[in-house]
Formats: sequence, C-alpha cells, structure tokens
Amino acid sequence: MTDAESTVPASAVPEASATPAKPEVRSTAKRRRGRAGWIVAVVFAVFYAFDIFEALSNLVGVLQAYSDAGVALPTPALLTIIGQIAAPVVVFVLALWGTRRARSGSAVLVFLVGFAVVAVITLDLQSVFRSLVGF
Amino acid sequence: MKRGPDDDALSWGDESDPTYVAPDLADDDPADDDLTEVDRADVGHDSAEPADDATGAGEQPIEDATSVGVEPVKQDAAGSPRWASGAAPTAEVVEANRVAVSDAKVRQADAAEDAAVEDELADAEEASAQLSSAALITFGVVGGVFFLYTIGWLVAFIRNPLHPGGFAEVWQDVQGVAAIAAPALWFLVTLLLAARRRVAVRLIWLLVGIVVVVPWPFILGV
Repeated sequence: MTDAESTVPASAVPEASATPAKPEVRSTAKRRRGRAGWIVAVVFAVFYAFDIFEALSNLVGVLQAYSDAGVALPTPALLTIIGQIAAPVVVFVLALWGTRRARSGSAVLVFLVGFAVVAVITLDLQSVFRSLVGF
Repeated sequence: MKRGPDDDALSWGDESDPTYVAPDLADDDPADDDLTEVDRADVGHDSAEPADDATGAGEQPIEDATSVGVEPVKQDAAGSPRWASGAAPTAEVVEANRVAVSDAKVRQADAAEDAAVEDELADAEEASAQLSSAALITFGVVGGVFFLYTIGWLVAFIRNPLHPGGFAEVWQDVQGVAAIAAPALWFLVTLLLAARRRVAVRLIWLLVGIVVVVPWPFILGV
C-alpha cells in the first residue's frame, strides 16, 4: 500500500479499494498452512524419512559388526548414531512449527535448509563416531 | 431556605417565561396528539363552543373552524416536520442499521490494522534504509565465513569418496552434497526470509548458522 493510500481517511476509502486490503492483513496475522503448504511438508517428510532410514541402517550395520566381532559398542559412539536418528525428527518438527504461518515458497526454503542442516549434523556425528572408534 | 421556582428541575412556566413553548408544539406524546385531533374534530362540529372546554387549559384555542378540515402540518420548535408515529423504525430499517454499524466497525478495524502494518513496514524500511556500512561489512564477513565453511565441506566430501552400490551409499552422497550447500543455503535463506526484520535479528540468525554448519569432518580431519 502506498503512502498516498495510507493518508486517505478510512471513511473516504471506497468499498472497492477497501476490500482487497483484507487478505493482505490476514496474510500477516492469521494465515494458516494451506493445501500447498501441507503438500510441501509431506514431500519433505519423505526426504527426512530417508535420513532416518539411513541412520537406522547405519545403527543396524554397526551393531551387527560389533556383535560379530564380539566387542561392545562404546556408549558415546552409540549416542552419535542415535543422534543421527533423532536429528531428522527434531529438525523436521522445528521446520514444521516455524513454517506454520509461512507461505508455501518460504516453507520450501525452510525445509530445504532443514534438510541441509540434517545432512550437516549427520556427517558431523559420523565424523565424531569415526574419531571415537578409530576407523 | 426557601426554594425558588428556578431551582426546580421541571417548572410550570407561562407566556412570560422566555423558555415557554406552546404545548401544541412541544407535545411529543402521540396518544395526546390523537386525543387532541379527536377533540378538535368535535370542536369543528360545534364551532360556537369555547375552545378551552374541549382542549383543556394548556391547549391553544382554535380560532377558525374552517381550518379543522385540513390536516394540520405539525412542526417542532426548529420548524422541521415532526415524525409521525407510523414512521417508527421497522425491522428492515433496524437490520439495515445494524449491518451498517457492523460494516463501519469492520472497516474501522481494518483501517487500524492497516495503520499497524504500515507502521511496522515503515519501521522495517527505516531499519533497512539505515543499513550502515558497518552492518554491510559485518554481513560480508559472515558471508566469507560461510564461504570458508563451504570449502571445508567440499574438502571433507572429496576426502571420503563413496562408491554407490545401494540406496544407503547413494543417500550418503546426497547428504554430502546437501552439506556442501548448507552454508550458502543458510546465508541466502536467512537474508531472504528476514529481509524485513531488523539487522540485529538477521545477524543473530547468521551467527546461529555459523555455529550449526561448522564442518566438523574437515576440522577433525577424518
């Protein structure tokens, strides 16, 4: 809305120009996640689920290897793998909460950054795991 | 102490009182009007009868019997026509008034919200207009740190090559690429989505990103 429009008294604003202002106000205050927003959330949920599947496969593989070798897995190393499983869940919930009133385009960007952050955390924990177990 | 007539809230004045209004013009009670009209009609049939007997002591006497047949135009003290009792607001008028009042309230609320949004936008524009060279240099330094992070993730990705054989390895590579893009994504999306926020808010989110996307595989050398 321009400055010229803002200086016009409310009583002088014609009905035709006053009506389109309502969605603009609602867009900042009371917008909720629409159908497109939920589609974005579900699509990214699949990618985040792949991250969880990746971490679970790592956990199963590592536990199997340690049991075959007859060696107990150190607890800090186990916690790093559990962290890889929990990270996608936590980041997805935070992104879902953070985009509850955002437009679909903004939600896409936030979920994309969240996906990259999950990858960062996963690779960080994998590097910590390798430094803990020595390989 | 003796109370004078001026102390009374309601006083009975006469023609000598400057605030005196003739009862015929000041009377608002429709029941009395009806009674008066009937009485006048009676007077019209018998014009010889004194008017004071028919209209009471407070009424003006009717001078001419020929004026009784014409419906008198009632006027108040201001000279405008009085409302007839049949002109009381109907249900449609009341509903229209209610709708008009509610529309006016909604329009007023919208105007207030518009004003609030305008103020917020003006604050944001003022904040962005005051993007000093110090803030610009700070953003540049933070962007440089994110760029170094990107190089760190790229080196870590090259250090640990994978040979895709299954879904897990493919997804590991996807995560490696996502980690390389993470610093740039955080920097750009923060500046994009927080463009209308204050410089301090943008800076806080960028500092959070500097902590989150640290390339630990590069730092640990594994």
